[in-house]
Amino acid sequence: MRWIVTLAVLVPFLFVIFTTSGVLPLSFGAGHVLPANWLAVPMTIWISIGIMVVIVVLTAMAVRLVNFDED
Amino acid sequence: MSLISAICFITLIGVTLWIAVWAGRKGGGRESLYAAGGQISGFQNGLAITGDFVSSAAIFGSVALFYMVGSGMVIFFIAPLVGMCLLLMFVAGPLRKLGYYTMGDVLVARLGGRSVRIFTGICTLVLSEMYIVAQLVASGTLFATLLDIPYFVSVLAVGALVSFYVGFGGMLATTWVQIIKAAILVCGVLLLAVLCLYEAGGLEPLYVRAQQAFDGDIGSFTGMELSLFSQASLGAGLMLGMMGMPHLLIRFFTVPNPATARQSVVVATALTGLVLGTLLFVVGPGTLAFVKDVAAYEVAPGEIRGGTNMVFIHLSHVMGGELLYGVMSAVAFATILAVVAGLGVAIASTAAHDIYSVLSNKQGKAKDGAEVMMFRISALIAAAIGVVLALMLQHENIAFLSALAFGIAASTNFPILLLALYWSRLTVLGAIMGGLSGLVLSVGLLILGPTVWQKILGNPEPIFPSDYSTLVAVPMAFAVAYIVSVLDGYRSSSRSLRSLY
Repeated sequence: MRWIVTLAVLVPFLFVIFTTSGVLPLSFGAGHVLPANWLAVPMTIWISIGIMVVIVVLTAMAVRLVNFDED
Repeated sequence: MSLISAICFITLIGVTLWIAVWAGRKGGGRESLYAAGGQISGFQNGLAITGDFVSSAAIFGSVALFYMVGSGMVIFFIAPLVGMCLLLMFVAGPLRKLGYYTMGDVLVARLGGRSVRIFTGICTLVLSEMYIVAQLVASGTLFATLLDIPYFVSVLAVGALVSFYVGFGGMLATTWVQIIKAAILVCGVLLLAVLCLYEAGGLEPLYVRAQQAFDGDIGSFTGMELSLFSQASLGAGLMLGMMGMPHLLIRFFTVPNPATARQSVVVATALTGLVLGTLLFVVGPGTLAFVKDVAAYEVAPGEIRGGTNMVFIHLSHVMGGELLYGVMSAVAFATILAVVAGLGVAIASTAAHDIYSVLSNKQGKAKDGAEVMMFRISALIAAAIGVVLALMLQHENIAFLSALAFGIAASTNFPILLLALYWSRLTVLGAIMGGLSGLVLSVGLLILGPTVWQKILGNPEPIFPSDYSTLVAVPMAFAVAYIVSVLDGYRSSSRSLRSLY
């Protein structure tokens, strides 16, 4: 479980590295906002905030998910 | 300096000095000075870790980067959170279980001997002092602009205050300075975000204004224009450096047990995520919407007064006038005090416990009283060296010192610590050679990179193509530690992991 949680955190991190270096080109259409122009916030910002929330939630859940007895 | 700024500063300095005196009276023994008696709660330690980690560079630097390149700098917000999650998974619990006061304790518990303790001790002293110098130079420049006070006054004030906090109150005083800093930082950033949203009329108008002011696409992920290697190496450095910075690691010795150590990482991750998320989501766009192209904050068209790092402070002036400007200046001051105090404790405890105690006699253990005295003297010397170097380097480009400190932490301390905790066949020689190779590569490649070799030394082309060497130095440190340990014949100096846990 320790490694599953670690991978779950590292995958979005790798996604950020590949997209910010331009290797993984992402385009969300004109203005890069959500389709309905929701709040006019760029999609990249929503993705970034979403990844941050996922990492924080996973970190908090890890204390319950991971068996740390082997420490 | 305005009256409001003066009141904020005097209040902050008064409160923190009172805390140092209180902590000094409460307990001046080794346990209190090094580890706050091991009685800090998980929530308190989480706040203190946030105070330790979120430095002025993290706030001013990252917001300034958003101002310049838009959301392309998101790696600076995400990498530290990933680092904290890995810290929880692999380091926090075992570190607390094996150590008492310093990282050297953990390595000695696993490997035995004095040489590895002295080696990591010297690495800790050097990288912490470099980071102190970088913070002091930044504070001098920042407060010269913010408060219109001479550079040397700011540097001397921070140096004197920190040597008093650390030398008199030790880790207990430092912990409470960091807790206060984290609390006012969280409140200050949230207040600034609410005021930005109120002034703009909501999130949508804020982003529309930010996009109109920005030259390009604010939502582009590729604004930093770094190669895949540089992005990955930068991200790895930010992430792994967290697991090797001594002033962050010693925070886990202040809690009573491994479970509380893990709990404190969760609190720190949540609070750091809240601060960084708010900076990314609202404050960064706010600087574009309200500070960019405003004549009052420019010395020339497109050139921000005091440098781009000041956009965060200028935004507070736009939103709350002199009152918020004064409060945020105090937040900036508290930020620098807290980080330098944490580094001061790391230096003082390492100098007294890992170096002096080992070298002072053949048994490798000094008397408690002598060690405590050495702790206090080391705090004073660390601050004095930092002040002298900061005064000498005022006009030099020392931005690379922070990167170098994180690079050394990631390439030297992190591989040794992780292998010591999880690989039972690591030997003393393997640990030292692995750490040395990481140290040499991280320093050498930075010197050969574009910032130092080309911009500072004036050579036409850099020998190493990137400023970020972590992706080379860390794997090399692991490889050397592995190969040397294998060649060293799995010597008996490494003890069974099971018997220790």
